[in-house]
Amino acid sequence: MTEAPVGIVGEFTDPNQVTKAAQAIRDAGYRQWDIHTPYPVHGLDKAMGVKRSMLTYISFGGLLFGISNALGIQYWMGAIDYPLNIGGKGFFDWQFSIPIDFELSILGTAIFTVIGLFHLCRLPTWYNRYQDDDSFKKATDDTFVVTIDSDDDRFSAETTQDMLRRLGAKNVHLVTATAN
Amino acid sequence: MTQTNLGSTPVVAAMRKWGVIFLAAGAVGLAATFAISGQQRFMADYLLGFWYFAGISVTMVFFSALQYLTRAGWSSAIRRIAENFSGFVPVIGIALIPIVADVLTGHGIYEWTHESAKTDPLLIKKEVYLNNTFFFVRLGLYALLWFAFVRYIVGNSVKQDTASDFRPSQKNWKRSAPWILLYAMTITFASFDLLMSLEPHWFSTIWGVYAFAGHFVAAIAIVTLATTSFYRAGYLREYITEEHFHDLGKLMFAFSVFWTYIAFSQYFIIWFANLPEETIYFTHRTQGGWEYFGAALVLLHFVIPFITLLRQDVKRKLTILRFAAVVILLSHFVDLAWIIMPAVGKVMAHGNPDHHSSFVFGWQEFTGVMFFGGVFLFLASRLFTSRNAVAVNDPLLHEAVEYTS
Repeated sequence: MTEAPVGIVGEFTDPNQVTKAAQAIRDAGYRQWDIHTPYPVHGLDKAMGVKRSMLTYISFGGLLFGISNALGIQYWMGAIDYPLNIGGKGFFDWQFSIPIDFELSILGTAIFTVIGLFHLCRLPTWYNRYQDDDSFKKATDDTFVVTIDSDDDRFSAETTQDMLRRLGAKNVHLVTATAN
Repeated sequence: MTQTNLGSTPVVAAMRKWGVIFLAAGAVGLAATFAISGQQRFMADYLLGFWYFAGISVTMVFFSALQYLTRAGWSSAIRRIAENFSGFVPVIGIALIPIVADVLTGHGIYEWTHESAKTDPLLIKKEVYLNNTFFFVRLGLYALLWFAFVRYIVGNSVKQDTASDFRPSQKNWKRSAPWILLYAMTITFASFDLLMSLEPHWFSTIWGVYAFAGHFVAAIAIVTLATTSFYRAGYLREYITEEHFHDLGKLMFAFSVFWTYIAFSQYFIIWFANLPEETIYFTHRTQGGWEYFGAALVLLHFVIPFITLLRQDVKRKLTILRFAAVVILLSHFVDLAWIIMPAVGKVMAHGNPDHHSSFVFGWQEFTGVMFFGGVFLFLASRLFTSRNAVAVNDPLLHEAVEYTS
């Protein structure tokens, strides 16, 4: 039973300050770190150097899935499996297929986006190594919380804490967990 | 502080120069059209050019009013560029005179003004609305209300530049909602009167929205072209950022899709119901050469803008953004030509024994847009000379400089 370091936690109360700190941490070369905020802060992702998510490609895949389903279903049912003459229209016409193509592309896009988002955000996550820390809990209230994980290559219990303090973080401390 | 009045810059000088060239060339072209192809063809091209730029100019004022209504911060840096393109609005009243004269001749482009309309059972019923006197009153009302609209909204916006308090902006914040309601009514009824009544037996209740959607996306395209031109030439760099281009790209994307949605809704319901009095509009426009216009519209007004503007990062690439804007402006022309020319072709064919309308499209159709494009550009260049290109004293300008989209 030893206390293994999980990471360093620091608190910020000003969104501009946390954005500046994010740039500094990014430029210092850290990779395994995150910022937890009570509400979305514009420009923070850029300051942190977060890469563009691949979610849009998943969404586009959903669009293709939806529209091919819509066209396939309508063509197969209307023109092949059970042709019915309705109002003298063709068994399959592009005109009447448009609303269904439109709706199913939206549905496909929406479903793929939600599932893709859950996957990329690793949801649902039932446990987080920081979750019992009192500073971390403030991230849901009024504080911007920076966490730098101990498995980062540049992590060092002392210098990382010093850096965060220099950047203006309050209540900087090491979080540990019991390892067995 | 950087330069905020761009009157002496090469961009505005080019606007002035090309405005005068287009104005002169278009005037000569319109005169040639009148001499060679007759009054109806001339009037159709005149209407095509007039409605293209009148609609866009009024919509520029609407764009400004919309920013005031929503208290939008992001747009304060580019709002004045849109407002400066409204220079054509005050002279709309003068530009309407040839349309009135055309109606008065009794053999103009509007079939319901002809002698034959007096024996047409359907047009007799519509005479309550479609008669010369009421038509002229309505046209005058549009010109007057639009003049008041631009004077109030843009006037207050310009007053804010030199005001010591925020009262002009507060006035606009308070009053923009009723003005937008008025814009919605006037653009709807003006599009009924000027375009839909070209096919007096036909009607479409979504027509006003259709007209608005086309004008709005074209107006955004012009704002995009102007903003990127200024930015590329090195002006307004303290006020305009990549974020503005991103948002303009989003608006162009959204409203070209919106136009498609409305255009398809109109087509779809008529196609499905298949009632003769409704389908005449589309049967006439999907044969005899006009079907290529319809196909070009799908491509230019929807497919190309959609594909080029779909990705997030291309909305920040000025070359692609400008390409999409040019395509949208072209598609708006194709749209209006597709609405106006088949209807006028029918009227022109009335004298023919075979009664079959021919495909009416040639060099003449470009003269009207050229003329009014020249007027539009020239009057805009005058406003860029007399006014700032940025609402320098706008209470929300700091938001526009800092924001991320």
